[in-house]
Amino acid sequence: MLFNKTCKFLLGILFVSNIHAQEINRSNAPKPSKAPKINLGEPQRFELENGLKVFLVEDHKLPQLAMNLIINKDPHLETGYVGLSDMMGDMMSAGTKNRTKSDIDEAIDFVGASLYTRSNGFYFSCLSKHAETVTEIASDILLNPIFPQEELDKKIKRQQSGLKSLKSNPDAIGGRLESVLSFGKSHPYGEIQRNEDLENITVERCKEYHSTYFKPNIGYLVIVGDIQLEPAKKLCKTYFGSWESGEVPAHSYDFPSKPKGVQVSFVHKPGAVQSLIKIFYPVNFKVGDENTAQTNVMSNIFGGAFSSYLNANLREDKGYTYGSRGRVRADRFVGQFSSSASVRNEVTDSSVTQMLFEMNRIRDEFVSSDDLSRIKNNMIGNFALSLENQQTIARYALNVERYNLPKNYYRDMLDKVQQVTKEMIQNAAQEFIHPDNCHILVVGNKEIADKLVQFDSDQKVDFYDYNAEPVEVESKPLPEGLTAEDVLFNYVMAQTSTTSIDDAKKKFKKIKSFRKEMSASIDAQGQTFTMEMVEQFKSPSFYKSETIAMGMTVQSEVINSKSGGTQNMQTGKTNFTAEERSSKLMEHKLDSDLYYKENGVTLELKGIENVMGEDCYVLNRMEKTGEKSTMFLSIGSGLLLQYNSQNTPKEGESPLMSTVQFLEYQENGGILVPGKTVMDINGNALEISLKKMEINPKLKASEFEWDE
Amino acid sequence: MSKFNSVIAAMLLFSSLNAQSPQIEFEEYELDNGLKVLLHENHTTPIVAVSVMYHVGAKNEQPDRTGFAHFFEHLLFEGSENIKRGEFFKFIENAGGKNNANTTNDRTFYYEVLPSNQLELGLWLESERLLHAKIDTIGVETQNEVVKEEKRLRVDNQPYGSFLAEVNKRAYKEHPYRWTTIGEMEHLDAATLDEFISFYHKFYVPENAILSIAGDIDVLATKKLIKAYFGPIPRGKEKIAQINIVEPPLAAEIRDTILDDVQLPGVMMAYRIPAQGTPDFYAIELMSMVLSDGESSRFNKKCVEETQSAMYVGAFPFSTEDPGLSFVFGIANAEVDPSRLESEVNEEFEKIQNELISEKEFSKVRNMLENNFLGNFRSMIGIAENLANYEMYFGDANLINTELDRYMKVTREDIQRVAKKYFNTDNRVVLYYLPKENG
Repeated sequence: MLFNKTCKFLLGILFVSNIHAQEINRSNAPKPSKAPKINLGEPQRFELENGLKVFLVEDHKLPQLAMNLIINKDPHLETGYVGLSDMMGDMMSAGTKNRTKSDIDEAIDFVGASLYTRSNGFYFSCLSKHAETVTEIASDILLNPIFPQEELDKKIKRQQSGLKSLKSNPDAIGGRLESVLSFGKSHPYGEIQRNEDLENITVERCKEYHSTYFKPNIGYLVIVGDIQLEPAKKLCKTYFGSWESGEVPAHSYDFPSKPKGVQVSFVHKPGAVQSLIKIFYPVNFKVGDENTAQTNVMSNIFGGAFSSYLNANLREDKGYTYGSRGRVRADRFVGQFSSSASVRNEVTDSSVTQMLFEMNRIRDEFVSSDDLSRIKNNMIGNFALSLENQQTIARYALNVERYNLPKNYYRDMLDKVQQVTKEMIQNAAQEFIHPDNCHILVVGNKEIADKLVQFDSDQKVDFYDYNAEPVEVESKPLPEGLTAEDVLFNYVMAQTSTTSIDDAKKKFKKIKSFRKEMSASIDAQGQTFTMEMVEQFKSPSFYKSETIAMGMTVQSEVINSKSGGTQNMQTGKTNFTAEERSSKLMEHKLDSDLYYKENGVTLELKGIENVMGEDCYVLNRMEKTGEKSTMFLSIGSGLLLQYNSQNTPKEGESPLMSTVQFLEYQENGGILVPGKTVMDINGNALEISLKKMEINPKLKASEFEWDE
Repeated sequence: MSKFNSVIAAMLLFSSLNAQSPQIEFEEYELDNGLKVLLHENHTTPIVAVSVMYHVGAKNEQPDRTGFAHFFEHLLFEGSENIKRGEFFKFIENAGGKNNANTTNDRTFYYEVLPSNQLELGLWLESERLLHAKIDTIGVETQNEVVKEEKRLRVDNQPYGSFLAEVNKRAYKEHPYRWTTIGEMEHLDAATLDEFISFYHKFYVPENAILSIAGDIDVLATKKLIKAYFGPIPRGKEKIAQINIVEPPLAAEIRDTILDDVQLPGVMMAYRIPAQGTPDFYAIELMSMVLSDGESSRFNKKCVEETQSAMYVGAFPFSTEDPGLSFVFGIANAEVDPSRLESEVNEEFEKIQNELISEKEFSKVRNMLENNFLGNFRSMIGIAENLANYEMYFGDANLINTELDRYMKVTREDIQRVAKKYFNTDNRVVLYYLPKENG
């Protein structure tokens, strides 16, 4: 075991001096002694003939070892096939010349090891006595991957549904826009994946990417654990010695341009009741920057810790949000300042004001000594605790190598943090915090966009879609005299192909029962699951729905004149009260919109918006229970195209947001019903198709029995 | 054939010795007030784990006051004479540390992991907890609600959540293992403040505790600090009686059906087995791994993949200070009669009773075991807890270095022998969990 003897000696002195002075006073918490030095293992280095640089952190505490290969390629543009490198990385372990995917999985499991691959290398950990077995597998994966077509197809399919679900996820949208706006489309950090990119990712491209970039001469192999220098050398020579070196293309890009003034950007998410606010810009803060300690302390005071300026103001003081965070992040090429908060619509502009206020405050005012010492202690503590994980140690060792950091860079970090003063905090803030030159992005409902104009230097808000393409968002005026009820009743008439509301009522009255069969498929983990749903209604008060997956009833709901309830495979059985029965029944009836007033629903006509290429009236509705939702009704056909709803979350939970789109309306017994329903619940997509709709089938009351 | 086996076994043993087994050095002593101290000095990382293990668990409770030990796991974070309500956590947060506690049938464990320059803070917090914790009406009432929420969350509202309670009360008639750690809420409601205070004074005393510290410490200096913080704490006034209740054998199989809010039938079995630390217990652990650890285990291959009668089946022996139970927990697939799942499980037990396990399976579980065993040493808190466990249960903290040998001594024949000896119908409780409405 390697440890710093001097340091141990110093620590000893420190404690001894404590003891001589020792008069313990129980009434107060004892003060911490001086921050300890870190005993980081000193890596040993060697290089293979092919140029692979290996460094070894010997750690014989446990008979285990971990090996991490990092291909130190430059970031580069992937125009036309963004995401190729990630896919290639993922695919490396999907089969080799010598092994199928399941051969690899079994062999790894038998020795109790774990292994994964990524765009710039691999990682594994195992018992040291199995090091050779696992290294051989890793070497096979590294040198002989074949990228099987069917495995690629599975992964692409998974990725496609991932992209599809992005659209309704404000955090994902915000992340994409932040990349593009912060770094620009001509910088690799500013590239985002679109559907058409996936079509261009092929087995051939994966192979080509692998053979172009996976060269030992730009590789670092980090070994941490129970192995000595000579055996490690032999292992590396045997399994990575035949790996051929070669020229690897280098790439360099201009430093992205920083925003001039304040630029406000907006992504409209129809029906959003919460705004995601992000403030960001690129900064010239590189890993190993000599001001790292003070910049990190400043960053934590500003937005890193729970008690940071941002969180204390927006959450603890104002109650605008569940949490607000912000930080200055160092990088190999381009660093970034980024802060964010998700807030309710009404306080979007006030929140931006407060976030900018805190950016100014940390520049203009000295931090209090309480704040400074608390954050320093917390950082030093967390830093020390994190070192218990071998991977942290390995990462630091690698950074020292990769970024040419001083040998004792991380070892000295605690001292440096301890020495940070309030003047240094202010210097760091003035260098990296720029409330007058930043991007402000809001993903939310465009209704609140007007209030953000005040922050923009050109007094103009730029609108984008989720692919960061500029879009025009203009409101069309509502026709004079049109009411919310008109729009809703138009929908009812469109559904029944009638021209008066009385005719519509008559048509609905003739429907004494219905039976609807639907099927849904969900793609998850490369597999497709199907679910069958059956919905039945019988006048006046019978209702039943059942969802069946893999032969099991996952969820059911029953209502009859005397009883009713739901049964869920996971949560069990719940009985309805008489009141719940009647309100649920009302919801399930086809003609419920006709009686919205009786049901205690209030409506508000908000304007016109484009949904799926059609102009729609936007109708906000609030149920008797206070639940809010938004309906988008086509101006052309009158039909309902989209329905957004959001529940009211309990404190500490994120809201459940759902978007439902209705497509391919078809006629059944005189009524138009959507043939396809696409649901998105918090980013999980589900497509439901109507298989069969019977109007007035014979249904027996006995089919609607419910045991309480 | 048997010759061949022993050669393989010897090779495996050799290779495991060859791959340096971890050696944890530690110092062990006792203060005048009876507090045992275990110190492991390790300067790899500048952190320290400070822990106190109390030899009090659910089995020390009165039959009409169950749940006390677990309740104290909550109550003893409420503060002390010098620590205001809610401040316990704050001190740790501000130091950049973390903390937690847990309770079993046999003991309770409290700990903090701190940067090593905050060692003294950890000693102060733990000595305050032992010397004069705040036990008052507000604290008791607050934590009473919290514990009730915990029970609703983990037991009442979980399908099959009551299985431990249902099995235990049938598997034991005499021994306190017949109730669960979380206990009965009525008992907690009925308890007076004085009862809580006297439970505290009886069990939370230095002679019933082990202070176990691992990390970046200087042993000499730490000893002096320990003396200053823990030395003045007086011994308890009451003698703590050992639990000497010997549960008679079951003699015959006990079967029952529980109707519960579940969707799929469950098959729960519990076999009476010897206490932890006995040679047979180690063999039972290996047998259970063959049956249910990993995708390639026997239960999984048979019941989940081949016949698809089960959604899940697992076998797990509970390590307890007194003779305990080894469980089988099975959830049948929809439309599968639980008796079908039970007979498949029985067949697997018969198979392991009638045939030796294969060499390949034997080395697989030994590999897994070795890997799992290392998990105990990966962190300072893991070392502190293991030292304390071994000392408390076996009076030998050094088992932290040698216990793996006890596992490695188990042979394939031992596995077959314990399967035959303990996994018999007249030594078990079998419960079927059935959905309520079908009953």
